[in-house]
Amino acid sequence: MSIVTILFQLVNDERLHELQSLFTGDETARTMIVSPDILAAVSPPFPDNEEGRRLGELRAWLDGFMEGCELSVAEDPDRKPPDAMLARVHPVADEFWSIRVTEPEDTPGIRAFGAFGGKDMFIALTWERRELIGDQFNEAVSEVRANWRDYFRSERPFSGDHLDEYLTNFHAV
Amino acid sequence: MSTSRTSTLSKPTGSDKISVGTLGYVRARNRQRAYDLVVRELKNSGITQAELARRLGKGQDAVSRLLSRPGNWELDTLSDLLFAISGSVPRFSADDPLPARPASAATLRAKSEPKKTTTRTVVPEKG
Repeated sequence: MSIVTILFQLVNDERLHELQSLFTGDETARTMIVSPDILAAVSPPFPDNEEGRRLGELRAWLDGFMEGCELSVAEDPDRKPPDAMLARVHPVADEFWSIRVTEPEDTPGIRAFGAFGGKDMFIALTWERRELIGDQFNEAVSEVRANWRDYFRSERPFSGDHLDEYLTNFHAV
Repeated sequence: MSTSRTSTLSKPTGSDKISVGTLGYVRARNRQRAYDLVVRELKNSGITQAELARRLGKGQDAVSRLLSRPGNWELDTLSDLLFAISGSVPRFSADDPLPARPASAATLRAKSEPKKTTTRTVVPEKG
């Protein structure tokens, strides 16, 4: 069974959700599938406080992805620039990625973790405030790996030889 | 694949305070669109960051930092970048895609309802 076939079932069962851009609805260039936890975090109304500001940033990142905006992508987890918007995480062979929300600048930002289900289709399963991840980054990756197994069993994330097999409209950093 | 219903933003009304989170979302969205516009324009132009830096009289590091992510650019920075890349200037238009109703009602919008068209907030205007 392919990832997409499983996704159809998971979305139909509302175990995962296909996100809509807040401004363009489902008329999007890319597809973002999110877990119920992420959907709850990024659904308006955004709180009138610092937390709301950070979650608004995360939602804008996700909407930008869906709307086909330019992404800076780091393939080497050990050599990623601090401003990379999307980066692979160790172990690279497992094909998990970190969505890197580095704004607002006066905060440590947010990281969301997931994997590609195909070209221009990302499946985001977990998220956390960067300061709460601390130096437990590998544990955060283990969590997304476990979540993936819960949803997709033995099916592995999408894997390609080059970044342009994962994405359109990006530049490698 | 069916699309899950999600809450939507709605237009500000009356004297209701807009939440910091909503403003944060909209700001981040517009930073991304400005970044997307400039990077696409740079790619289409075929010039390098080094050439762009020389045109702007800046160091390459400074230009590289500017283009490394969607940042809170000053309007002058956006203007300088676009003009230096391709002789373009930003063209502004107000986009109005949000429903003028509470989010709770908006969530019930059926997918079959006609979709509003959207335009990019800023597009380059060839000079």
